[in-house]
Amino acid sequence: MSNEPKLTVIPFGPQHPVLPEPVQLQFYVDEEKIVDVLPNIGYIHRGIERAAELNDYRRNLYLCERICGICNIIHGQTYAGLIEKMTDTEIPIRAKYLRTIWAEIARLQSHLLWIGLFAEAVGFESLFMKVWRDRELVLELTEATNGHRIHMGTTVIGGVTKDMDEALISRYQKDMDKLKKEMDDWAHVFRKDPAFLSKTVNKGILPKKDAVHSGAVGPVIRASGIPQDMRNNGYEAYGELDFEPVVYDNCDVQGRVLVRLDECYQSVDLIKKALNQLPEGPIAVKNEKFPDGEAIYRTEQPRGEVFYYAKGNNTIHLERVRIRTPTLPNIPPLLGMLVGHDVADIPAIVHSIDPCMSCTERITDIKEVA
Amino acid sequence: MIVEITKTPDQAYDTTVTMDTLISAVEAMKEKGARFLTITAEDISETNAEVLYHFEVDDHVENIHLITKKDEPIKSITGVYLAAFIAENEAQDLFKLKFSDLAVDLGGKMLKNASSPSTLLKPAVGPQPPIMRKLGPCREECPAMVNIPQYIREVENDDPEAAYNTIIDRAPIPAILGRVCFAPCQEGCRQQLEAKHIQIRLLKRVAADGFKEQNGSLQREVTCKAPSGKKVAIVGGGPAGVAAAYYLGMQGHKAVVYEKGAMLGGAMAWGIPKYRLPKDLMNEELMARLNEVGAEVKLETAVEDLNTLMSEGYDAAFLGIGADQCNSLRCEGEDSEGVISFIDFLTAVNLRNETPEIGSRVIVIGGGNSAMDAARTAVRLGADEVTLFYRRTEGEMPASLHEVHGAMEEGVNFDFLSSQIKIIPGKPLKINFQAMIPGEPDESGRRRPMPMEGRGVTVEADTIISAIGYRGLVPAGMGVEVNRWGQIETDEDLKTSRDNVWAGGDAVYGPTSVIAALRDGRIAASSIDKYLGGEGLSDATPDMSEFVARPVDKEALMEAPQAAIPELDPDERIKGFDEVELVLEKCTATCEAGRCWRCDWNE
Amino acid sequence: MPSFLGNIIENLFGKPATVKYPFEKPEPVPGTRGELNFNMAKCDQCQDCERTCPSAAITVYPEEKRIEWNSFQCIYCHACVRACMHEAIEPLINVEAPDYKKRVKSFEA
Repeated sequence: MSNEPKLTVIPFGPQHPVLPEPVQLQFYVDEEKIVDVLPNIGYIHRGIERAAELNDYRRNLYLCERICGICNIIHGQTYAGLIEKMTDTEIPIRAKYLRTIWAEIARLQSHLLWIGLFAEAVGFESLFMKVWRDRELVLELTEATNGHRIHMGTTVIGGVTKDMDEALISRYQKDMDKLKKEMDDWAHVFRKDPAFLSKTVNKGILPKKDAVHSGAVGPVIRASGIPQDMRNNGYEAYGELDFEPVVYDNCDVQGRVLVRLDECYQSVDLIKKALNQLPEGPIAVKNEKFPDGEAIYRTEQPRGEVFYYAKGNNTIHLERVRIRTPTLPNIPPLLGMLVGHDVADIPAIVHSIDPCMSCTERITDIKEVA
Repeated sequence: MIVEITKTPDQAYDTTVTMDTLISAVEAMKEKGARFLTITAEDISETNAEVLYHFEVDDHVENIHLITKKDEPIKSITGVYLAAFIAENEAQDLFKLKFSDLAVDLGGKMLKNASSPSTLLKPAVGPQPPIMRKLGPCREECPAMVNIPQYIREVENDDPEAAYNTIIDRAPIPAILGRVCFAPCQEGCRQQLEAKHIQIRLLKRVAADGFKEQNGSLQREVTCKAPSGKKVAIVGGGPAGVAAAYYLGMQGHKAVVYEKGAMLGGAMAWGIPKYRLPKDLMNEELMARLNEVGAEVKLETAVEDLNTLMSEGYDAAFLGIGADQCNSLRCEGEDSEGVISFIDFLTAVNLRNETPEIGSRVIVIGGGNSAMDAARTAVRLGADEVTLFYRRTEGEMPASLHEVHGAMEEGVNFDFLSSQIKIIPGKPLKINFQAMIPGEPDESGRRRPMPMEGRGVTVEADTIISAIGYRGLVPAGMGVEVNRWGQIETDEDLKTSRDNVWAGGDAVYGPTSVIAALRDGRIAASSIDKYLGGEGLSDATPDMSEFVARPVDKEALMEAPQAAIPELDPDERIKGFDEVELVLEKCTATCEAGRCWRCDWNE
Repeated sequence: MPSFLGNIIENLFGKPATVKYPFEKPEPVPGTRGELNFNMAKCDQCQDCERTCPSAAITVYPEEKRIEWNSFQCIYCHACVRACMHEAIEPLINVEAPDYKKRVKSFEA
């Protein structure tokens, strides 16, 4: 007689009310406990890496900004930084500060979005509405800067396109103070509420010794006690703002919630500090040659480390552009995290890595030419 | 900064492995505590692919390069780094590589389009943005297609030698053109819409004068092609002939220039006054070009019969004989004493340095640049009253605005809508003018002047200079066909009806301009070179590998004013024949060149 | 629950946080990247905008002095506005209305 338990297969996704983005995870379940997981990604191909080879390197900036909706600002800045490195262009200091400020705004609104979605996934629906109401403060700031709520579009190769005048700077300062006050209103729920903690503590464990080896990035690894953050390396203006990454030792879902919550506060502080220190100067320069050679550029998106590699050959086209976004390396740890938990814990754990699948798939895809 | 540049000279952290050493290199990475980042695969040819493994070690990125054949299975590194299975599956799906011993092998089905073929560069589908580089409207307006945007950039970078060479590639006499060209490029400049075109002609002069100052003289060191042993006869030492001689010399042929006058230059010599073009500068530049290529010059040698010339062993001939027959006034009494053609008048003053007796009242009939030259020369020779009569209106005069304003500043009077009817000889001469009124447009688009009956004026004068146009006269001994206006008939390569004979310049197109003659010289030289076994000269095409950035600070550009033409005071000018225009100062020239919008951008 | 009470009362008696579209329309903010208006009096058909556009939405016909702008292919990045030296492309702040079929707008001198 076989002692093997009979396993049920639950296909989770690609369309599911809890999932923000399409990914399929096939759960092999024994009664209520998960025994095995198989991922199935690849639902959002758009052929961006291939399109990046056909366009010239300046138009690719607009392509890269549209890889993901939420983290578009940082994608654009990473690509621009990559080309600036390949052409030996040094952007003015004011442009670095402005880019930093807008990257932190992007991080803020992304984390607030995630906090709201996570709250709803574990059942706190009014909290979800409240968090998203506070996120509107950030979106109105973005709108005042360049007219669109999420897609700022202020990056060009060599700097930024728009400047911030005194009225806008004081509006930013006031709104950041207001946001901090609003966040204090509900942040304690995530730290202390027993109903919330029962869903997140000791779920989805990623032990510290496995964290580096499994390839996790972003808040997932920072919640396991390892201070890995690309902003430590001081690109753009982070080197002048005394940046320290937020690290927790919990190794579970609660740790990741705390990391992201504290990063919201840290973003507010960074924005205010950068606005106080904003130096004068021009906001853009032009590059002086075509991109040549290979270069790698890594920045910190809200979800982790994004990796751009490009190879140029001194013409207007790039030979190869490779983009690896943070959710892709977070999937193997996810598979490890899920085994041994109940089916009811699936939403919380899957949400805790902040899956952004539209970033993940933009790999080369050619249709047959008719 | 975080960014690692793994450019080719700086591969301190990159290693290249083969299939056998791959696993041990990856295990060495694990020993170092490296974190696996991702895998990049790339097609480098039909059969080969390059796979890069990216690892992070202590804040910087180290790469392992592997070049492999596409059908050879690659050893998977999931035994060392399990998390790499996603990247390897991705490479497997898209680049059709095979990985052996994959820990989690999704069998080519990870990405949902299972029918993706290989990724080698294939043409794109759908509307694509255009990748092109334009020549620039200034360059397109220039008859000779001089590479204007490039030499403006070279003037801005304070490199007159490079600018001088760029211009000579298409038009061999920059110092002369910088003073006399009618500059159609400036009309084509896009900033003309705001009436602030770049002063391209003045920048050309800055380049030429700067080069002369740097180099000591206008003659350069050039390397021509190897001598071909062929000889070409150039009849006429004007701009067309000198250009043809220069380009043929650069291609290795021997050119011999026959000039019937005492000085090279053609219409530039007799027609353009010394206050616009000093004759020693003109001669210096023409001789510099001919000496650079070893061409021979025979002055005061007129050629009437081409047969005797060709029998001296020439393989080809070029006729640049120009035009020097003044049009008649077509009125009674035009042969009276005191009525001279502008050609005789200007030749006497410009070439022979004479000061003819013109009395105190001079009348000039005509409205072109030659009429302005005649009138302003008359002022400098001491006439008290110089009046110019033209039969149409002021706006319809073909002379350039700059010349007309110069003449007005120097005190020339203008009388419009007056046409000459009759000249009564005597001392002083009397001339009857009929008042005209604009009527119906003729074929050139201008309104034909109709006589206003009963209105006219009679004026007295000591000298009447006729400047209403001129044409060429081709000697019958040339043996080429001419059309009914006396211009030599040619095809588009400027080859005439006679074998081995080309022609260009005023002789073919009637009186046009210096730059058009230079263009003809280059076209004919290219055609002659191909006939003599060479490859010809290259045409103007945009070079897509050159990087030219657009200006970044648009507001500053828009506010910068146009540089004014520096000129002598009108009272100073008429005292003699000193050059009226002065060269731009270096900082003004740099600012003016910096105002260019770089219409030929390629970035 | 007590901590949320202040919030509940504020929301109960305050005005709604949303704009009652379509009865009220939200005002577009100055600086919004909206539609384009090509001022053909200033255009000299240099094709700089066509070469800069990342999505090939602009087509210039120099002989006819006409510009075709595909408002459905445009990604509203306003790179063309920055590229034009004569400032002939005027950015408007209204966002384009949806339509039943794709159309191309033609601007003539």
